[in-house]
Amino acid sequence: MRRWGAAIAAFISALLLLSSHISAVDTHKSSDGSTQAMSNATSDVNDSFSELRKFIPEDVLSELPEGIFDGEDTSSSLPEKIGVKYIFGKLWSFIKRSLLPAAGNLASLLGMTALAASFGLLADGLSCAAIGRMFTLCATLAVACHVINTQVGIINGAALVIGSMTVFSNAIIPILTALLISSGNTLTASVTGAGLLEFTTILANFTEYCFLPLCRACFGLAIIAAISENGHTDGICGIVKKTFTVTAGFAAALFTAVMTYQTTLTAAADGVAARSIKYAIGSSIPVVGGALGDAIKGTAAGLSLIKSSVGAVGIVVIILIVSPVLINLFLNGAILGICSAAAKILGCDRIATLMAELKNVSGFILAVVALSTTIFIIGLSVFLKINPALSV
Amino acid sequence: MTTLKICGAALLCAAAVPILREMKGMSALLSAAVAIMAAAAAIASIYPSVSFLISAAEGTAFESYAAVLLKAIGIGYCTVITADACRGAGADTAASGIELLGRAEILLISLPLITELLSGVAGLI
Repeated sequence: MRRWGAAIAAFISALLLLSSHISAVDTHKSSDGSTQAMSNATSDVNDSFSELRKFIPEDVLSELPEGIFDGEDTSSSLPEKIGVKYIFGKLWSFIKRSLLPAAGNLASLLGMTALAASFGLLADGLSCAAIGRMFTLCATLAVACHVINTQVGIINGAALVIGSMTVFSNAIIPILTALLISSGNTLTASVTGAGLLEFTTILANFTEYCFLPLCRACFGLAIIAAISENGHTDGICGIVKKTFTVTAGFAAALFTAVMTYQTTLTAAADGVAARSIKYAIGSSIPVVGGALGDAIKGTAAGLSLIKSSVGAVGIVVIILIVSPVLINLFLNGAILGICSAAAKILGCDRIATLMAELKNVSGFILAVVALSTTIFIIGLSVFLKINPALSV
Repeated sequence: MTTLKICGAALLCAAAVPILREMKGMSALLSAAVAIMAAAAAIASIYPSVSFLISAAEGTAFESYAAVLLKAIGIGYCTVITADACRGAGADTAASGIELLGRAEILLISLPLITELLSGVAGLI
């Protein structure tokens, strides 16, 4: 009698567990049977995988391999489609695409610097120092106008890319959380999903209220440093950049560490819970108990494969969103560095200062974008590394 | 060749000034004349270089900036030569006024640049 009671209790808990998995991915339908329900869950999660494409920016979508979102074959063909060859091929194509505009930008900035330097040489002959200073101010303003027109697009592009990354992450995290819950990692899903969503919110706020205002302030300081005769603001952008990146780097490392140990602990707890339930099912339900346990294990493995695919595609999409901007920022920094050196050689100290300060601002933006990307990728990798609790 | 001629004229002027010092105002007038002649010759000789720079900047993104810089340098030279001539003639106050005018004029032609710079920064907000 006691044995039957235990069997009924185990069966009820199994049904509850399955229904919780299914409802987590919005797939709760009439439960005709556990296998049917699990199959529905898998198919609906596949649908979620296809739904993911709606959150991918159009320009990135066109860069993704053909048929990446096509049904069942996705997971098996995915490693080949988005492998190292694909990623490096895309990076190379982005570099090739960015090189020509960057060369044009370099030529334009160098031309402007040379023009200002030529007129500056003529102005050296002015015996009145006050008029000479006035002319230098005029030349510096002309160069600053020319440079800022190129920099505004780059800064706004960086802000936009962080926004796109945040939107995409906000879309992918719930899908991954649902897949984790389906695999039995309920505690891990709630902790990791909430942590990553919290991070994306922090990043969005940070971009809006901290990153962009700081960039503007650095731009202002760079122009003041160039115009000011005493150059008292020299290097302030560099100091801001160093302070900010060190602080943000430390915060990011802290976030990663907390995420990692929280995930490890919760995954262990989920593993114990799932093992207990499976043991109860296997030992208490007569005849079909073992088969049901194996079915759950198989379904969990399938869900894990889908989770890995969604996560991998997510990482690839983030790389594709960010890479063009990172390459542009890197090239922009190099261009400004070259122009700064050229201006120094030509004897235009103020223009050299302006270029050097703007290079610092560009480096600051590059650091922020790279740091955000790294954190997103680490977050998604943490998701990918979680083993499904029901497959143990 | 023009440079040699101008240098010769300047030397003659330098030699004549001590002789003409006793004739009030004559030496100053002579100095001013030579200075203006030298400036005119300088402008004539510099013209091909400047027109080359302007034609090189034509059609590029910095064409408008080149025009502003050219105007600024022109105003600067006009102001300095005039102020020096005034100073040579003993009109120091007029020279200071001319210099102030030159600075104000350069600032005035820089105003579109300042406006453009501010609108560029505003594009970030």
